[in-house]
Amino acid sequence: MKVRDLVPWGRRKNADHAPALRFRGGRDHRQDRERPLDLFQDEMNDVFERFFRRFDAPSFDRFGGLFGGVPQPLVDVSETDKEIKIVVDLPGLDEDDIDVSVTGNLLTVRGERREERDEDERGFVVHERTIGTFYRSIPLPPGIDPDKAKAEFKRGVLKVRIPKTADAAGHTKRIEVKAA
Amino acid sequence: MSADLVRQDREENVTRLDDHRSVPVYRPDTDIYDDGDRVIIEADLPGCSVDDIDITLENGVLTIKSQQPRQSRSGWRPIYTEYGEGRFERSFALTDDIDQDKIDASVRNGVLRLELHRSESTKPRRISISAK
Repeated sequence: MKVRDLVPWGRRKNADHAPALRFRGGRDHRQDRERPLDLFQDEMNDVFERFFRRFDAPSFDRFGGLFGGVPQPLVDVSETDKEIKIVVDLPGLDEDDIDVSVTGNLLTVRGERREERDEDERGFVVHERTIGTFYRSIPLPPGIDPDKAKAEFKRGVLKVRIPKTADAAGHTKRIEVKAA
Repeated sequence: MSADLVRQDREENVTRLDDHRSVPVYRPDTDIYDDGDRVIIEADLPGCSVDDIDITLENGVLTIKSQQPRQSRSGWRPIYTEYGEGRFERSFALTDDIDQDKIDASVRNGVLRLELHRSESTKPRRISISAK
């Protein structure tokens, strides 16, 4: 940890230098497992950031102001020995509004949430929900078979399940270390 | 009246009380708009069905709660998470002009829509002046 990191101001501005998955408050559990001390440090950082964020930019709302206003739905990735599951929150959309594709090791979800209001309902008191097009790419781990991906959309939640390939499923290769 | 309708809590998306609770409680993103006769509240509750959502009205405070935790990861190892396992909850203090017996609620694609009607007695009325 550098001394500079102790100064909380402006740290969020460097967020784009963070590893690909460490943004928008998400937590990469693979790192947690490998480096438990980082988990503690992250938690402390979160406490500081939550406090100082109030003074920093006016509003980094959940649908990332960091990304030039392109709405970013919340994403969750988990796995079993046989498959991985990507869950994306897309409340208020219909399945026809959502486009899911896999290119290389990137899963891309894009779509549009339309405003469904009549003209006479426009007197907004509170407006927190995001409308418009959104776009989110999620890096996929190696050893999966995107051709067999299945997606379902239910109650405003998109679930994509991708099976792992036979090679990757359930076995980790251990490498023996020999004394030289 | 608009300022009274909602207890504003813009800073965090997680209700601050959650430090004292066993399950984290998330504050759903909400739109509120007013067309004169009605006030419409739309709240994002992704993953919730009709049966999961509990709406109560007590002492003029309307509370939306989801019964089920946000997501159960049992059997799945998390790789990357942006939301925790928790419930949704949010309260709105209603003004006196809302008819508390006439609130319609519906859920579609994870969005809860509440229609609150203004009571007839509080609508603005024109009083005609009769010439004598």
